[in-house]
Amino acid sequence: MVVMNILRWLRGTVDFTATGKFPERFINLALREDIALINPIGEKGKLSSTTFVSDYRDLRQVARKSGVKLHIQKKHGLPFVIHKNKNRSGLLAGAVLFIVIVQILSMFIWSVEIVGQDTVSTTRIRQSLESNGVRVGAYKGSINVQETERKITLDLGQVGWMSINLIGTDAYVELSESVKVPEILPLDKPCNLKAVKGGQIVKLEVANGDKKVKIGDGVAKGQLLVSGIMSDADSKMAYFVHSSGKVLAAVHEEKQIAVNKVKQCNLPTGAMIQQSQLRLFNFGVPLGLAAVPQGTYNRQIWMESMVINGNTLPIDVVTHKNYAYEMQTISCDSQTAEKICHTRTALTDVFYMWDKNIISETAVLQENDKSYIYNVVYSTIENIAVKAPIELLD
Amino acid sequence: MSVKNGKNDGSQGKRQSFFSPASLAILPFLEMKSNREVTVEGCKGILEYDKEIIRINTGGMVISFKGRGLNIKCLTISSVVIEGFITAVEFVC
Repeated sequence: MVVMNILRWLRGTVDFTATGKFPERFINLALREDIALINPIGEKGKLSSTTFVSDYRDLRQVARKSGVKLHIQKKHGLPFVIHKNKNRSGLLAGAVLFIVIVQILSMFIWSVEIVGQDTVSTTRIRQSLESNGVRVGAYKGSINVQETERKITLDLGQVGWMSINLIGTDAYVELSESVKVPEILPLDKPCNLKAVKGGQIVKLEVANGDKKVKIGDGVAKGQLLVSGIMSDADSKMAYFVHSSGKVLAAVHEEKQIAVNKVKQCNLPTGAMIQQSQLRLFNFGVPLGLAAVPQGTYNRQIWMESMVINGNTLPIDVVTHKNYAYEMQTISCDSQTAEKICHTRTALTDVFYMWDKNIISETAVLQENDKSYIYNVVYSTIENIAVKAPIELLD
Repeated sequence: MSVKNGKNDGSQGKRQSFFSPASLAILPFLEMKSNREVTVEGCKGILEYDKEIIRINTGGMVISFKGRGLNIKCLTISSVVIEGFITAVEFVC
């Protein structure tokens, strides 16, 4: 019904009444002339109906034959709108210009959306896309999607699969990152277990293989812990097995943190210069007269895109916040150095020692002419066994 | 109609020709949805159109639909759809 109404509006319709002695004759003659009467409502000596503009002219002749008089009640549709505004050429020119501009703008990319990234930086992906021509303002016809996908996949390295979908004026970039599969020795390959670190063995959990050490033994790095060569007691024949298990040992690990007594570093002065820019595609208009700061500065870039009904428009406000930095000389006393070292040790515990069972942790702060040295000794219990394949030669 | 006029003497062969597909094709076809809507196929023209009565010429007979608020919903060269509250249907041969 909606489509029908749209078609009627495009063709233009006229509501009319036919008054006379025989409106029924008027209906019959109109039908014979193949003139469509929409919603004819009959009364005594009167007929109200609607017809298309093109048919209305022929209807006059039918009315004359059937002896009725036609009266137009209302006019609807596009032909009447055009007729009403035929002297307003600017309106037509504006409508044409609007269509042309929309057509031209729809040939370019308005926004680039990236989904699926996890460890790979969005900025890096965006830079790679830009260097390969996928950027806001790029002409869609100039992008060879398949070649660009291949190039970016090779460029980024950590991407297993990627797809660039140019939908309307948006470029949707979907990617999945490749995961490095850890090297796993096949179970049918014979191997030994060797010590990856030196320490004192506290527990042995060997599932397969010939134990070469016992609890309480001290072992050096690279020492054989469990052998993959077994011998049969009856036949006294040697055979190979895939050794597996855990060898837990008390390990001492030393870490050293050095803090210079006097050091020079760039520190923020507190001054900040903000520059804003209104950008349409690749054309930018500055929104202020602030100049680029002299010397060292840290720039943070904020970009806000205009979104209407969930569609990103190619109009952005880009704000550059430039924080001024200055080279300063800082002297550090023992208390400050200890605090710095404590913080770094805490970070080490969280990020590097998280998988180890720390038994004790002792720290000593020493001092020399130029720096403070913080020695931390960790006593941990950890699995020191690592699989080493047995290479068989023909 | 021929049965009513007595032209058909009741022989089996002539009855078969009356109900043959060729004969049925020229007869008007009426389809009613209760007393609210009726579709008439084989319409040759509108004889009277009012809110209380609509008379249709089907060639061999005139069919009158009487009722309240009668209205022609759809109109083509050979069929008509009438809606409203139909109280009586009359066949005038």
